[in-house]
Amino acid sequence: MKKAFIFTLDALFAVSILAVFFVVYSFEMNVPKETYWLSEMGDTFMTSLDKNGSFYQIFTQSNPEAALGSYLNQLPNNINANITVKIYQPPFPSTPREFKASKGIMNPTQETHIKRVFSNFDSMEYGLAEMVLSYG
Amino acid sequence: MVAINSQWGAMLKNNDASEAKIAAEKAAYLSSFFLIDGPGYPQNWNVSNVTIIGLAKDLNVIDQRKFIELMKIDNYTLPNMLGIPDFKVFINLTKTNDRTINSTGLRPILPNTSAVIMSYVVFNNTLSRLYVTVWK
Repeated sequence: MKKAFIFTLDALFAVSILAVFFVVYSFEMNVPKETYWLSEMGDTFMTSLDKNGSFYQIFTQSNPEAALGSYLNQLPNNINANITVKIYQPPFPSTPREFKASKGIMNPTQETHIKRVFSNFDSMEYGLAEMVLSYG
Repeated sequence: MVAINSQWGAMLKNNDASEAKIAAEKAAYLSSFFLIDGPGYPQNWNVSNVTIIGLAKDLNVIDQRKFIELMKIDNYTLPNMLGIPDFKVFINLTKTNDRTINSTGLRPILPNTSAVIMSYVVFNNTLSRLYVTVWK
């Protein structure tokens, strides 16, 4: 009877510990998905740059990489980013013009990659913008 | 056992707050989606005939007329029109330096149960930020 009582206390203690770990784990799993937010925010950033013609404007600037960098500066201060924009112009097949810019120092463990293809049927141009984001 | 019980209670309380926050985050994503990805219903809605709010004239491009109409919708009807009747909403359109262009809705009282989604949009041909804050 006494032995069984001790075993029950041990089991109760073990179950309590397991329950605490389970609750902690559940709580940790419910932490907002920061990477998902970063990806969503980056996607709206790239879409907006495409929709207001910013990617094409870059190539008409005297210093395209500085122009590209000025767009990255419109990201939140705690976000670091690298961006590469390539544009293909006729006659095809053509070698793309390519420009790069960066903001801050990337954290490779938290990187989020976003790509956007853009096109202009009037001028027969198309391009690819690739951005990598991370928290600073 | 007392310590474990106390910790258990604290964690359950945190979990409740976390659940409220996760619910608010889902509602905020839903609202952002309605606002920047769709035109609303009817397509040329105004404050007197709107049933679903949407601001997009193109993906991530805000229709200025609809944004002005959005400002006229009262704070208590706004969540219903966004499909989140159990929440309160605060919508803030800013420049990329966070200077407010215009805002509507109710500002949150309890920050630990509110969720903010920031999306980039094109407003008046300019890259801007749309903050949607959802809370109970």
